[in-house]
Amino acid sequence: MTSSVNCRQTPTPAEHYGPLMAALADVAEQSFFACVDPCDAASFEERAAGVDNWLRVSVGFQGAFAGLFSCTLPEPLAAELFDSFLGQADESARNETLVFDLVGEFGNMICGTWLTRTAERRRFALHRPEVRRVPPPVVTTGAEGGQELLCLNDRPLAVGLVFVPWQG
Amino acid sequence: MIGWEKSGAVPVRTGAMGVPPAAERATGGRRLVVGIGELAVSDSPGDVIVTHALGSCIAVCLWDPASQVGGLLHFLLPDSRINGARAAAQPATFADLGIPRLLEAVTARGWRKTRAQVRLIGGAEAVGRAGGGTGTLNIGKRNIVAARGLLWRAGIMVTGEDVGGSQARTVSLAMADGRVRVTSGGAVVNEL
Amino acid sequence: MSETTEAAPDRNILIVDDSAMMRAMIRRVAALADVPIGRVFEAANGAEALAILEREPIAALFTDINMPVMTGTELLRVIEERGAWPDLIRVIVSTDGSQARREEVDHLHVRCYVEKPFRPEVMRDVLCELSADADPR
Repeated sequence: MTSSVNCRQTPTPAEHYGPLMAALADVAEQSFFACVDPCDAASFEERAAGVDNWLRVSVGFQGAFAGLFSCTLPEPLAAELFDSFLGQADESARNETLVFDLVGEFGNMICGTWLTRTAERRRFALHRPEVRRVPPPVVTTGAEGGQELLCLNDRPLAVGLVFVPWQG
Repeated sequence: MIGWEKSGAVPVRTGAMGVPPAAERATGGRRLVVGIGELAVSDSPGDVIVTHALGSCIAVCLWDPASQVGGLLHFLLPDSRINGARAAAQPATFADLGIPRLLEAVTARGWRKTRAQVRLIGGAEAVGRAGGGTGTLNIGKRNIVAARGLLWRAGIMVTGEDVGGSQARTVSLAMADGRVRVTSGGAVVNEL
Repeated sequence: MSETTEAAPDRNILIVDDSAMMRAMIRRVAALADVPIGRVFEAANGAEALAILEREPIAALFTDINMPVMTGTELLRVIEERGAWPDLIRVIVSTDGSQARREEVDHLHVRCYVEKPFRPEVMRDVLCELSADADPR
């Protein structure tokens, strides 16, 4: 279904969340040795409670379609992903620059894997990931919320996908 | 010389959770049977370490061709935080406690990770649950991912796997040559 | 950016990626793999990689595609045009595994195309294969 999306139409996030979640699961398992689980709003809020420091990676993409992928995660999860990616447990090896780099690469891999599978025959371009600190995410439910709530290593993770009209 | 690494705090227990690995005399060596949540190590070339009925569980098989030291762990679940009492009583039930203990045990007998053979077997999903969807527990997949991650943290890369699927497996590790034989339904299905 | 492990200039490798973490991860695999490797050099884009290629003997190049300043594809084109490194082994390590991208680098003598994400063992196997080819004893 996804590969047949017409390049002149703007797809909806709903039709792409399935393949995007599959890409996220593969990235999490292969490079970060972590498993992804679905998470309802109540569970998400419960896990997010008391977490003050959050990071968001945003990756713009263009190709068969254009848009912005984002992933919002608590900093403690970013630290765990850092350690599992490098296979180390040395806290002193972590600094903000490298953690931001890691979160950027996490987003880059998810987005690139999804687009590789979705737009197999088409060329696409990924923008450089942008990572920044954000306030705790406001949980919105339903498809109109524009984000998918997940759990990774028992910690909350919110994925967003926005398409923009094709600028050909 | 045979080394038993009992995973429980109590040296010898009975019952399903604490039966010590059984040793049977075999030609030229012993057949060491490892149960769920147990591990065994050996440096006797004639020994064979065996574990039965791996479903979603994982057998971690280590063997070092230089020292001819090897070991096998049969763990049940990825993370000990789920059951503190069982983690204290039988730590090798869990990947996060069992794998470090296996590594300690074999290293103490001269096992070295350089050029070591590291094999993972098991991690099946019960029929009807396979498929890797996010709506199921996927214990087998979680076990596989946990084992790979713990080994990577220990600076050890996997050299062979027979994981996933839905079939139960029996595994044997021959200390003479490190060969791992996987059987299912009575037939040899893989050799690593 | 470099680290000496042993004097084996015919086994030097160059890792090109704008993610320092990805470079560190590949470097760790190289250290753990049971493969003879000389010095490991790192570059954050194609231009930095070219500068290293011009001054150091490099046996194998592992490059990302999507990078600022000079992309991996542009780097491979320059290498091809100059013709100065005919024996350089070229490996792409990229999240972009699309058929369109693969066809784009098809004529640039790419030995191997590794898609991210990859397990450490995948990169270990690539290193082992390259090493075996270089030392067919």
